[in-house]
Amino acid sequence: MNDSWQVYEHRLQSRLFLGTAQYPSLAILRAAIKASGAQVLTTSLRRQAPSSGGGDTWWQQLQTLGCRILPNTSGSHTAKEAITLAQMARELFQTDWIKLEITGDDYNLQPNILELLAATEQAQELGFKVFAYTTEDLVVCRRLKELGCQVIMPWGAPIGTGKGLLNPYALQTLRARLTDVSLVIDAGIGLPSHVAQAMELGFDGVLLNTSVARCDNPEQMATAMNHAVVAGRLAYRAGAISERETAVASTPIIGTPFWQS
Amino acid sequence: MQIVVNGQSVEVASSNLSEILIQLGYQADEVVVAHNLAFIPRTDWSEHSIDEHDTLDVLTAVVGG
Repeated sequence: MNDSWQVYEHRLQSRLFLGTAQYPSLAILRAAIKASGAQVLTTSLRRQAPSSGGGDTWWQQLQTLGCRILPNTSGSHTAKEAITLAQMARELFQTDWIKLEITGDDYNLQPNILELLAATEQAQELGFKVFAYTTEDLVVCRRLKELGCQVIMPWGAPIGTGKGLLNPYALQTLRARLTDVSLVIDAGIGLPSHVAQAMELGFDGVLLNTSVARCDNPEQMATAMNHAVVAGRLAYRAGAISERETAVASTPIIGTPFWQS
Repeated sequence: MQIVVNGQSVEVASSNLSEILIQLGYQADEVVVAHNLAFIPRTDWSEHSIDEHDTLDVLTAVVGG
């Protein structure tokens, strides 16, 4: 079944974006990437200490896997900081894709949606292809779409918590109301069942990191997440039955043995 | 003169951005630079001047989520 999807100018087969942080080693990261089937990898920028020479080129090694790089603006708290980071990322990673991630609260790392809207508008003007990390707020997501953002990424739960989809009603509403924009669940995924749930709701993809990187066997979990994306997506396209309050026998009633009318 | 590089005060011998980065031992193709929170494209480094007490952020690629 061809179930590819359009992400800005690129057509992707995989609906899983994978973060590259927190893995025990580069070898395990590479194995997890391959197992996940991911075609998009997230990266970031951090200060390089003076006199220590340049940074390593680990991400260039990852590029040999043929994946797209999606840098984030992690660490920014304002639109101005995010835009500066986006510009720096564009030069370093040679991509106009940018995941706008602006922290609004340092305790739960909730996105600052006010700064995000401002940054999205500026980034669009500067020619970036914005992937907006946001909350599940419908009005904010609709505004992001109006600003030209083609990939909107609401959180499932706070980053790294593994709690899954905390507000499935709002996420379901988002999908129902925003039908012509890509929606990707970003953050909060802990289990393949969370991934499957997101895909069953009709989300176009998921972005996850900690649930794979910090588990006991990242390669195996990456495989499980890959299968969960496919399973959830197939289920969404198959069209699930509606829930019912009462039991309805699946085995035919006619011809029931030992039944006396 | 004294400038601030990645949050730390540093004595530099030149006001030219390219020369400062060389003095500090950075590999030009592995870092990107913001001057007083504004991005400075690599192509502008050789023409770009830094003043006393200005701030530089010199960043490199890292893993991320």
